[in-house]
Amino acid sequence: MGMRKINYVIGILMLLLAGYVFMTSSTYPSGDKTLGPAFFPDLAAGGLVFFSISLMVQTALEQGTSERIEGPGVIFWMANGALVAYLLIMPILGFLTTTPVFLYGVGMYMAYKAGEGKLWWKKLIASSVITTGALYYLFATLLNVPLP
Amino acid sequence: MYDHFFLGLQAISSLEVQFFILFGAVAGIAVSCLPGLSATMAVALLLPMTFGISPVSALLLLSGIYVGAMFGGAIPAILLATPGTPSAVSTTFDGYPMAKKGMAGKAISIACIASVVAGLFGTAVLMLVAPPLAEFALRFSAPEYFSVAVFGLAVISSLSEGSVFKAFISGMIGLLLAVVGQDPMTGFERFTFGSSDLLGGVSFLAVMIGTAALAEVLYQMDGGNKGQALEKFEVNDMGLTKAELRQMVKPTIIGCIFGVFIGIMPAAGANIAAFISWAQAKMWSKHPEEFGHGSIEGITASEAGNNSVVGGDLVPMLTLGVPGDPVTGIMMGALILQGLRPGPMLFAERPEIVWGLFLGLFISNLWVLPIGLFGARFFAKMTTVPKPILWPTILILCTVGTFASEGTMVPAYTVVVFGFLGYFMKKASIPTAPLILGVLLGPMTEENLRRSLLMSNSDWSIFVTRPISLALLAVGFLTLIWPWIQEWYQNRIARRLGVEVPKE
Repeated sequence: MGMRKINYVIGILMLLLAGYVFMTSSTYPSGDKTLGPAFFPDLAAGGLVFFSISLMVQTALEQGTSERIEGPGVIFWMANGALVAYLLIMPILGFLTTTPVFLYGVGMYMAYKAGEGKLWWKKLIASSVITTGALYYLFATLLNVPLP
Repeated sequence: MYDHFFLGLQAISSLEVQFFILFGAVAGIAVSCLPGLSATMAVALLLPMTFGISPVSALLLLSGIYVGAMFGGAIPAILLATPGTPSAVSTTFDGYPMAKKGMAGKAISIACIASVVAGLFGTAVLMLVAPPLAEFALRFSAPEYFSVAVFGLAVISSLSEGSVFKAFISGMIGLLLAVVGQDPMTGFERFTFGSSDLLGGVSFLAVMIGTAALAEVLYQMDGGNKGQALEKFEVNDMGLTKAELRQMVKPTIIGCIFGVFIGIMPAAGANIAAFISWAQAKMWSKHPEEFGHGSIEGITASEAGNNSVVGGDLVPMLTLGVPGDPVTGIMMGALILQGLRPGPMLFAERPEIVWGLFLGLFISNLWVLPIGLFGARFFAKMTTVPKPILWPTILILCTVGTFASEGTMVPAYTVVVFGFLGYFMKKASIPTAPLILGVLLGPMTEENLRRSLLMSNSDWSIFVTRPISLALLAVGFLTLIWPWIQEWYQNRIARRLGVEVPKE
């Protein structure tokens, strides 16, 4: 997508967000002298409206072609998906079992993408186990925070 | 003052505190040597670890990382011409050419010594400037605090990456996020969607880690392996001669003064301080033609500049509660998580924390010297840690850290949400730092604005009829237009010296 188009999309999304804030805050009780809970959200949303419109005007006035922005690649969705899956499974199966699997999986995927899969698989098994141990030691022993 | 000094001394004289100072300095240097990790990210990642430790240890751990990272960034800058942190950009100008000449070891020694001297200087200035400023700020009441918050928000204009409007949009989203939860004055629930998890507000720890660390990792993973075409040099003989040390004196002084001054201004960061110091040293030098071709003076000025910033940066954050850059923003978050509000009351009520931080900062800086000089060879190896090991580990650190801090999964999911959001913001060149600033300054802005208007019966002129408040608003206005002044000045000296201004 081109940067100009992105700017318009941002502007419209932000106007929608501001609209939502105004609508929600209009149902809030009015404070007698304390200006009420709706005062500040309205102010910030007002700022949002002002800056969004300014951004769109600025974009419209700008001349020339704009740079193109690539959408997120496969690895972004992979990493996010793996992270969400990890966070869902980890509390059930425990930190020490899920973490090495995650580290190995994501690491191997990255190595494979770089065309170095064969080079990495042994090193990664070792490093994921060592890293998990180190993290566990750091959190559970050194910093006294319980892990599942 | 002497009482406070001894209180501070008492606060840091425990094995625990000393351990965290050392750990912070080592971690800071190590992290800044890892490819793609900045000081901001390191501080954000280690933030959840500060939960279980005392406020003094927490602050010193984070500031130790900051101090360490400011020097550590020089190692990859010298060996690979790739700055480990944005603040080391100017160090590459002379550092890499020195390495090319076979003086990589010398360059690291010079960077290390300049960093330590400047760091100590910055801390000394902090210790001298901050207490009187905090005492002055004790006179502030609601209108003044509101003006301080406005001044803090004006910094957003210098955090933009392209369009200023986008930076302010990001800041407004931050302010709106800060509104979620109970209204501070009436207790009314706002934007909680009926969820009890949101009653206390959005976890700003999670917002910070999500936008400052996770989003950055995702962005870099997605960016693919951009090959490093340049040759990597090994650390060799690190000894310096007396003549070389003498050459360092003048640029160190220049770097110290410019760095600390730029640090105190909340609108400019370490990379700018390093560049301006480098440029000033060139103007004042007897051998300006050597700059950019491996000048000892150049590397000294750049490293002195970015290290003396640390002390200066902490001045507005500690005395007024206004962070000048993302790193001090996150440090402010650490204080708030400990139940402390930075500002003049902190100096009055908890002097041991403030003075403990001052004295501890001296020790952090002193540690950098032996760690940097003796550990350089080890840290140099870290510049080539392979990505399949590095990135997945950081993904885990981002999420597990927040889980550990609150004992539920909610903050960990929040991190993922904000990582996702932050990634797309980065893609669309909307900076994430203003969002963090908005979240941090939101409550202060709202409470003091409403309190002031209550005092004045909704008369807005209260902010301009009180002299201190008016003066603060004027400084805020200057801060707002500062980026344009700075750009004009930087371009002017850059043109005069025939170099390119480093980009953020």
